[in-house]
Amino acid sequence: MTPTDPNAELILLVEDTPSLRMMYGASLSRNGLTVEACGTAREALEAFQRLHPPVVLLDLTLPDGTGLEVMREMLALRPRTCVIVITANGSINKAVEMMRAGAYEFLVKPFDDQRLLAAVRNALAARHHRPAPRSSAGAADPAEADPPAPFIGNSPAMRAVYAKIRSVARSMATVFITGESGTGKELCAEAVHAASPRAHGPFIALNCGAIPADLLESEVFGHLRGSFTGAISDKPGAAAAADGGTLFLDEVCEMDLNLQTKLLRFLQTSTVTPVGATRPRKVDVRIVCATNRNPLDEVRAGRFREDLYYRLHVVPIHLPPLRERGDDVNLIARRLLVEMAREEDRRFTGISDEVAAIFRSLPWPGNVRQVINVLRNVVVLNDGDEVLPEMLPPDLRGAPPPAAAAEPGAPAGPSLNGDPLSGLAGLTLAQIERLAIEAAIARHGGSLPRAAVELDVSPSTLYRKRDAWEKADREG
Amino acid sequence: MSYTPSDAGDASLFDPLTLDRVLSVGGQDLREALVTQILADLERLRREIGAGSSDLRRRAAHEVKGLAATIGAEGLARLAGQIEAEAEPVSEAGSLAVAQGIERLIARLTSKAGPADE
Repeated sequence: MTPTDPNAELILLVEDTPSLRMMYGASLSRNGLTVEACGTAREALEAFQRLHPPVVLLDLTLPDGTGLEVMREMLALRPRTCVIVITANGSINKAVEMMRAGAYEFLVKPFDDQRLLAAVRNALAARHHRPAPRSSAGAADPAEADPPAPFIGNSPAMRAVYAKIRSVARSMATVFITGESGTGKELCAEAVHAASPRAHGPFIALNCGAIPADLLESEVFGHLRGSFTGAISDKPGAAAAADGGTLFLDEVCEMDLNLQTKLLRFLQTSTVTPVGATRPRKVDVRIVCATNRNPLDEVRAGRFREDLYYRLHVVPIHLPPLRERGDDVNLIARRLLVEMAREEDRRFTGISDEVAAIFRSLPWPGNVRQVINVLRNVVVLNDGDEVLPEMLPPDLRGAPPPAAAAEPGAPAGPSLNGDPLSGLAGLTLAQIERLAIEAAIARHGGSLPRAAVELDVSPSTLYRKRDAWEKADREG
Repeated sequence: MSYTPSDAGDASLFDPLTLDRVLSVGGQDLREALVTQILADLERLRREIGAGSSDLRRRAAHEVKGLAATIGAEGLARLAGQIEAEAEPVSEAGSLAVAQGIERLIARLTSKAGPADE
């Protein structure tokens, strides 16, 4: 094809079926893009070397080679090229393989011209935000050694996670985050968003496990006024609210099968239909999801759709538990301790060597969230320059809970496991409630549902309170 | 010899609105050129899927799957996908079924009437 506008962005289109090549090319051309089209791997590589296109649309199956081989050669020559893979339905696994090998996005036939155009425009925009490629000597950019905010830690396990976040952030690939409770899955999603070309767009997080099942569809896709009892006004829904940005679906395995079907359709069509609406609406959203379950177990048990799993599980990121992160626990503890001390007007500036050794030895089933709970407990109930072992909750230092009766005149103990009234003087009711809830959660290894059983409240009550505390802590 | 696809549904399933949307990507000249190219591709694929090695038939089935899905021939796309996924060798009966599906689609596209009843 002959370029008509020398300033138009150039797209290299590699598709072996002539009529499809004509369709895609015409669709892009009428939207102001310049298209160079070819039908074989050899032609594609020759055109790529000659024209240096910023974006390549590449069919997975070519008569003289595979899309994977072609893409590898292209990215070896020009790593910042955005390659959008075109695949037919049923080849999702191959598309996922391409994503892991460096593709920017994949399109599944059949797709309409709007979908095609959105993918190409996103890729062109992403090109302007791509980090500079590494030098030929292979030396790492020093900035890349720093953990992405707000992560803390430099263990080998987390450095691998940081590298993956940076690598996946610039593409549109769906990210699937797994890890135990309290490992920072939402932080990871925020880091992916912040490092992406969509950082200026909205980041909308939805905890699928905290919302009643009968309201979840409305929360995700929105509703129209009157569409059900209680729908007193129109509501856009999280997917529409995330238009232009990132939608984070936490505890995605909590979705029921009916809603999973609708989520799959959303992923396939990029349209949302609010509850009660008849007309779908196009949205441009990048999906990140997370679960603390094993998603494949959920698929095998029939609780999670296999096709949805493969659609979501494009780039997996697994967050290691704190016990596998070496001394990161102490880096985290020291940083958070200083912040909490400032909030609570305490003198703490660090932790003693004995406490550091205790922290390194603990299994931390509640992970970073458990560390936060422990530190909050210590800071609220104690003061000093350093956190000492006797300030830790008894179950952490291995000591039995203190005896119920204290000697007259003895200072109030810092434990919530003995006399629940001792040591609470001067605290507000909200602080006491928080201590009691956090202590229960810590006793149950970070499990909110089990803590809820002990406290005789619903799990959603504890999730709401925890979310409110985290928000308040972030806002300082 | 008849071929019964296990999960391809009605192989004649066709949505003319999808084709119309695809053909509306440009003006009349482009529309005519596209129709001509689609017919040429279908004719080529009908020949390829009926002859040659199992590997060639599988590749042709893959191409039919993508093209048929894009122009609204959902049933033919599913049938072709099933043939593509068959274990070696690709069955002649299955290939013949796809070829017949392509013939019907060509007839439909070249007919001046509406979608034909099957």
